[in-house]
Parts: sequence; structure tokens; C-alpha cells
Amino acid sequence: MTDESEFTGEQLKFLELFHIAAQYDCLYILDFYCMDEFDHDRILNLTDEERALLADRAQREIFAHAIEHGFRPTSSFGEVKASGYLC
Amino acid sequence: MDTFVEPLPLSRVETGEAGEEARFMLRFWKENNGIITRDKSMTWLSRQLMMFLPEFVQDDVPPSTFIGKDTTFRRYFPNREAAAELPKSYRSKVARGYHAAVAKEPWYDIQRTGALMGPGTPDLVLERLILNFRTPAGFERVFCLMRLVEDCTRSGLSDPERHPVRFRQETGHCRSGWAHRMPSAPHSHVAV
Repeated sequence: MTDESEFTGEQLKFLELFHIAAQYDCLYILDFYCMDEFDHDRILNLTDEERALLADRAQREIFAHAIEHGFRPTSSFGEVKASGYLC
Repeated sequence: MDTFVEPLPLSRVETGEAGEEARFMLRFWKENNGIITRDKSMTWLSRQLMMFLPEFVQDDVPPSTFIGKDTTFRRYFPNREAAAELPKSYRSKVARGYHAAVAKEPWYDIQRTGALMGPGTPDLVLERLILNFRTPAGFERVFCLMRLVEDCTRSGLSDPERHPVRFRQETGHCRSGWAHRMPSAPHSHVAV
């Protein structure tokens, strides 16, 4: 893998969140937060910075959904504690 | 100052009297049996939505999880984070609609807030459509679409001493007993 093809931490965080949302059928949550933040739902058109902001805002709700169905956050989400998403 | 919370018939939503957004959301809910999936129109509407945990909390509203930026709450309380920051007396008065939605009953009502939201807060007439949505995997959220009918503070109707004639005699939404002119009937049960 070349330097150009490597993902940044922010990109990986967003991609993982997107994957989790898709896996657990809650992409609508990502759409809602995108609309609320950017007035559109074109998630793939966002810049890396915008995606990072979106991930920060939406991950709590998406994790709540995923955890209810057996998902456990991995270390890539840093200091996030699973219990923090159990509402 | 009058305050009330009065259930209204869902037929009012179905006929469009409650606005196109409410009519769309109720139709979407019915056609999809309460299941929420990605949908352009629902996403567009989301800026006007509040979402809550599907929890029955005695005499209180459930915790909110999402509050769209075009909601009445954001407009009137831009510095508050959650619905739980509103006074308990107000939350208790409006809790019934959430309890119904948690039980998977569709709910539609009208309320006048009066002074219930605390000193210095607006006196609003609001209509709410509250529905329980779940994902195909069964993850539930209670969606609340609220429509501002009238801001009685701005119209000056909240203070009958200042506008006694208008308050008593005109047929504004803020007039005492307005909701009781509306047809009020138990909501039909739509299984989700």
C-alpha cells in the first residue's frame, strides 16, 4: 500500500461508522445528522473534515443502535466507552 | 393564562389540516408499518423532528436523542440541549403523547404552553404528531413532529390585561377554549 492509498484516522473513523450503520440498518441516522448539519444528505460529497464532524455527532445514536444488537466498539473509537452509548 | 393539552383526531392529519409534513409522516408510518428506512423525504423532514428513547417514564417525557435544527425547541430554546431541560410541570403535562407512542399508538394533539415552560418563556400553541418508528432490526425511536400554530406572546394575546377585548372576543388560536371547538375523539389504533 502506498502513502497515497492510506486512510487517515478521521477517514477510518467515518468509514467504520458508515459500515456499522449499514450493517445494523440505521443509515437513516447518518442521513438525519447530515441533513441537520449540512442541509443535504449527500454524505459522499462531504470533505474529510465534514465527515469527521458528522461522525462525531452521529456516532452516539448509531452506537446505541448497534450495541443493542450485539456490537461492541473497538479501540479505533479511542476513549469512547461502550457504556456511554447505552443511554 | 390558559394552558391545555388536548388530543385531536388523526383524521385531521390525514386530510392535511395539520400540514403536509404531518400528513406525509403519518402516511409513511402507516405504509411502512412503522419501519424507518433511508428515505429522501423523511431525511428532509428530519430537521423538524425530535427523537426520543422509547421508554415509559411516569409523568415525564422520555430522554431525547436527536433534536433537528428547525424544531420549535431549537428556535425558542437555542441554548438548551435536551427536552429534559424544560420544567417538570410542563413535561408532565405533555407526557401522555409519548406514553401512547411508546405503546405504539399514533398520537396527535394540540397544546397551549401558557406559563408552563417557566418565567420569561413564550406562550405557544403547538400541534404534535408523535409516532413510534423502528428499524428492520427492531431499534425503536419515538419521532415527534411539532408545528407552531401561534406564538401568543408575539401576538400579545398572552396578557389579557393588555388586550382585553381582543383576548376575549376574537377567534384567535390563543383564545380560551379554542381546542375544545375541535372535534376530539379517541385515536384509532393502528398496529405497528
